[in-house]
Amino acid sequence: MTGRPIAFVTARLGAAGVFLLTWAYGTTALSPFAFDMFVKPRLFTWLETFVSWHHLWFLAAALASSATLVPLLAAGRHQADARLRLAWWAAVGYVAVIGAVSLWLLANPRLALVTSGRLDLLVVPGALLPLVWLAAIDHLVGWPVLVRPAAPETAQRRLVVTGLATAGWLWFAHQVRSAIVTPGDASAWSPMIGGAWALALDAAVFVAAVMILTLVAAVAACTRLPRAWEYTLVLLVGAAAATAVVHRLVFPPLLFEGGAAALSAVSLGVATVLMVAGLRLRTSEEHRSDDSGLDLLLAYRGHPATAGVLMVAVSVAAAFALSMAERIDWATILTTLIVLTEAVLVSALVLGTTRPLQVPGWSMVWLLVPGTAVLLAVHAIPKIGLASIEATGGGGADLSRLVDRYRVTDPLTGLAAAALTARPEADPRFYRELLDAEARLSRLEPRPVATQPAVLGNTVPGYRPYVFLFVIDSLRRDYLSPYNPKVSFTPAIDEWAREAFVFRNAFTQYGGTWLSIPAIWTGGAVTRRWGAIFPEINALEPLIANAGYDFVVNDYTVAELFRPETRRTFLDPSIPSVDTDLCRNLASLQSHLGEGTATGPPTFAYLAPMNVHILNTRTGGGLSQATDDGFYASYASRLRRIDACFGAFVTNLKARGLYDESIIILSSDHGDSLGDEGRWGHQFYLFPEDLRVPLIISLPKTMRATVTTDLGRLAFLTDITPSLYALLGHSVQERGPDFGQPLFVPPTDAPAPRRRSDHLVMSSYGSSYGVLRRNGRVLYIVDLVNRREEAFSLFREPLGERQPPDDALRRLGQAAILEGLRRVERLYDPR
Amino acid sequence: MRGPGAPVSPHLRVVAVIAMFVAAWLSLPVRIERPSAGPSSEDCLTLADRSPKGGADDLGALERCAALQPDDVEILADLGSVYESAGRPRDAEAVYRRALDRDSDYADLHARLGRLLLARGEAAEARRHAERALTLQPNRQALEDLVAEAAHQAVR
Repeated sequence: MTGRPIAFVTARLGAAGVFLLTWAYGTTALSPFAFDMFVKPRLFTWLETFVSWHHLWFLAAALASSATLVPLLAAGRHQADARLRLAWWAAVGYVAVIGAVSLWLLANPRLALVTSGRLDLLVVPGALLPLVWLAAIDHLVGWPVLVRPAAPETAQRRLVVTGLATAGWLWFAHQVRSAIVTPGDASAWSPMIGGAWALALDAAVFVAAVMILTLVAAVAACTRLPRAWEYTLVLLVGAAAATAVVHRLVFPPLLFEGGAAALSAVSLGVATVLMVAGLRLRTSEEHRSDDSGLDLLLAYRGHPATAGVLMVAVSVAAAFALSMAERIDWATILTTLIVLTEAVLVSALVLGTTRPLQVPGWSMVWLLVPGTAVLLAVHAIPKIGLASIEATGGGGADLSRLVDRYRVTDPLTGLAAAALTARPEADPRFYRELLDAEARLSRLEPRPVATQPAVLGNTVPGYRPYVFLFVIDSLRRDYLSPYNPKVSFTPAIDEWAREAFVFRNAFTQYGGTWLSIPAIWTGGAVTRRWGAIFPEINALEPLIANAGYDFVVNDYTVAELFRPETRRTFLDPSIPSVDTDLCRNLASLQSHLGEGTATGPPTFAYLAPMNVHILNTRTGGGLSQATDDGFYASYASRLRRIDACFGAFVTNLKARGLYDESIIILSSDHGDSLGDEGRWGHQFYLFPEDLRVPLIISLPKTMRATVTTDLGRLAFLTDITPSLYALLGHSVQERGPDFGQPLFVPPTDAPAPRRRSDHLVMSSYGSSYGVLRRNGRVLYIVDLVNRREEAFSLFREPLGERQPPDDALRRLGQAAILEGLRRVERLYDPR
Repeated sequence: MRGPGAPVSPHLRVVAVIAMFVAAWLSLPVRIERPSAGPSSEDCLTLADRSPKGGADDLGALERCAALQPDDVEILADLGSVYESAGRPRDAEAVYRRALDRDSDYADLHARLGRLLLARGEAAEARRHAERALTLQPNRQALEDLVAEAAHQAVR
């Protein structure tokens, strides 16, 4: 009753894609963080197009899905089987309701109106209702297959062999991929021990699944309709598993929690599992009599040889997808979903090839031995490994390093390792306190506080230099020649830096743009809800306005929240955030400068281009495409281009006679992980490569000799605004540890050191926190989600070295993190 | 008694599976042992946080901590300062050198070492350290004076 199966499946999957994407957009909107980060900056133009034309997409989905019901509708309502009559009425209802909704949407496009933080029940969970409705129709039509008498439950040997074979295959495929594309550093662990433990962990996952299915089969065997009961129970388990994956793994990194998150996760879990089950029932009408409920849902029905070919194809496709995803997958969401999908598909293929084992009879040996063996192996292998390393005189073998490596190289094993291991540093009391502090700060409705480092008078400063503030998104310090002599692709910046102040020890306190950029403008600490009070806490904008600057900007983080009365020119407004380009911006800026008059106000320009953001560099391949010196080629080549543009801009300023009248600041909002220890991206990380930033400042000729600084001192991006206040002649006041300080002081003074104080660092998006101690030479970080703690010594260039945190550092670091969060809370909520 | 290979009823299967899960629940998770990260003590970390100014107690504590945490530059800086106050310039010089081996961007220590060397008549090396300090803190008046003094003494 499906007509042409290929057309049927294509139409259903196409329609499902539209409904799922509608749900995904609605869910993104429910997380203010995700909406502000991924939707508002227009990072994905295809998403904008989808939302704009959603009413037409929905109409197409309605037509396609309704077309799949035509054979059922054509059969008429006068059928002997009551369930088919009910299915006919359900189909009529579906066509009528979804048709009416489509017509209504044509007149009232809705998705574009969905805004951040508002639950629209028509979108979540409403968008998935068609999938559930279609699944109900499919099950009414396919019901006779389920209730066929004498159909068995899945056999024991088949379950065990399928589980172990799937684990073995996935382990093999992931080991091969890991050996090809990822670096081999895992402390002192040998590949053999690491590989053996990975196999045990993978097997543990699938043996656990086998045990659950054994339970399901046993319960089904106690009933009169084992096939139907097994089918139903597996459906329930599948829906629960899908819900758990979405709720526990996908939503937390998006800071999406609470009732709306639970509703969203449950709706997706139930709808997707029902949809797949319904499609399976409808597209495989020739079921074998010995098919179990699990077979109906999952088992591949083709030839075993074809299954073998498909297994290779699935794992190759997964490896390809992983290599694409890992560069943009800041919280290992995509990579986790990819390996889980791979695991389900491989399980289905293996299950299809183990039909010869579908024989009755259960034995205690098959029931107990695999689980016991795997449990022993999971415990014993690390111990044997540690003993053998120590026996051969090795040292420094750290099991947590091995677990971390799995997370990067093999997300499936990483998931298993995270679930089956416990780290000693996971002090429950500290994590509870940190969780509480994070929750309080997340809920906090911040009140405006005075952030300006100096009182601005009504008079324009006597000397107003031009100011060019370039904050290049994700620019790494060690990819610039002034910081790393191995770099050969930034000669222009190198030449300019020779006559500038190169701050060697600069950091951002915020991993990720979302907090880092407003912190620059505020000159101090911010909360994640900074947007609500930004006009009041923006300290740099009043300085620009007070000095009467010709204000030129290109930015997609804070510019929208500048005060309406501040006159400004937005450069290249038609370019979406992700395509912002320093070269294009500088060309536009030069044109703008050319339009100015000699008597007009000087320019204050602020640019935040995304040339080397991972969204742009991700297309450039992995470590295998690194340059000869070990630099990430895709990143380095883009940097080479913007270096040339920067050099041309400096030359242009000199030609106009403006260079010696200009403050030029080159920095970045944060660094980036470019395959360092297998990590990619920056959103959720606080590793040295993410926190260390370049900070190079050249001053007008008349200023250079009138100030001093300390280039080795711990400097923060929050120091930029107080420094500009000081350089423009304002008397800057010390504002305490949550605010920046001027980098420049009179030559008779010494910049205040930061060697004895602790400084909170935190991720813009994830639950990662840390503390910088000892002038930024010691970094202690905590990953609240994964309960991981790490420490780095940052003396050695360029990125320091990892050092296991000892108890003393942990206690001090944890206290400093909690105190830092409490201080921010008190700052923005003085009650 | 039921043999290991004998058929098992559905009810017994349920019991066996639950028993397996209980066994897993009791034996997991696998505890990850933390490797030793070398000796350290909270006292030493906080000692440098409060920047001790001298005295026999401080000297003893700093010497103990410098031995315990040889990488802590602030402890070495404090120890050098206390040695200077105690009239032990050679010891101060030694710990300043150790600290600068670790953190060569520490302008203040370059200056302190430069002054010690200058006082001992090692003008050429004193000048190198003073110039390094001045590179890190350009235009700073006190360092320009130190460089000039070292240069003057070197010429003499």
